[in-house]
Amino acid sequence: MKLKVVYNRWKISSEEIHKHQDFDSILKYLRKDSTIYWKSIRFWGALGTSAVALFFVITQF
Amino acid sequence: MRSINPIYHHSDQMLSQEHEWIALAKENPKFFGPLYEKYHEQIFRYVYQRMEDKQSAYDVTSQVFLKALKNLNKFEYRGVPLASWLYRIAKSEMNQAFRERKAKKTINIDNTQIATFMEVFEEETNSINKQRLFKALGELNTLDLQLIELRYFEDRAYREIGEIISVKENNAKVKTFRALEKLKKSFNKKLRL
Repeated sequence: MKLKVVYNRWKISSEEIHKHQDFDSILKYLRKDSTIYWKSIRFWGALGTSAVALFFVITQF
Repeated sequence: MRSINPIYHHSDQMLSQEHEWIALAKENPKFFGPLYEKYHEQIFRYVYQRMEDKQSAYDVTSQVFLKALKNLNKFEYRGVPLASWLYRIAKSEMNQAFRERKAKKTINIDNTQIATFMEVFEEETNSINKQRLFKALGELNTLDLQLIELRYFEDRAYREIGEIISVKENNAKVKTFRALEKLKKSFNKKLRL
């Protein structure tokens, strides 16, 4: 990978970095991601497998 | 004398407070707030040191905390600050950004750091040597470059470097020394050409 060398770059102040702190938006994305899980193939795959297994258990006994 | 990063080097009391916050955050992510405030600047500076533009660095920093929260249940407390885990996530997120070409890998260097290297190499600080140093840095492999950045650009202690790259303090010292030797060799090779 090619590297770029930046020489004497202007330092960013702590105040400027603090202005970019946004924990609420991180929490919002986290919640959105958990919602997406319910729509994922993994979730429905697991649910489907469990349903089939349950069906066999019920019909066998 | 090398300065000590006060945010990284924790007292037992600070470590146990951090452990408490982590345990609470595992139950409810909103309790991760104090840890986010504590480490946001530190992680951003680590990322920005290695990236070309500010916005990409802010985006990667947010991804680091999002990933940390998603995987917090897998985190095992080992008596070291959470920062070492966050640095490892940051490294992986940066690599992903580089792979997806969302950002360019960068080395940020200033006059003071160049002067330090020239002192170590017993060379004069001039524009030719500066160019030789830039080329030599570009020839290092990823781990060696990381060690040089952590030690000579960011002034970190070997203990902290060891925790970031998951090796013992002594091993971090040896590896950093070897990386510096490689850099010196590459720097001198440019002179012979």
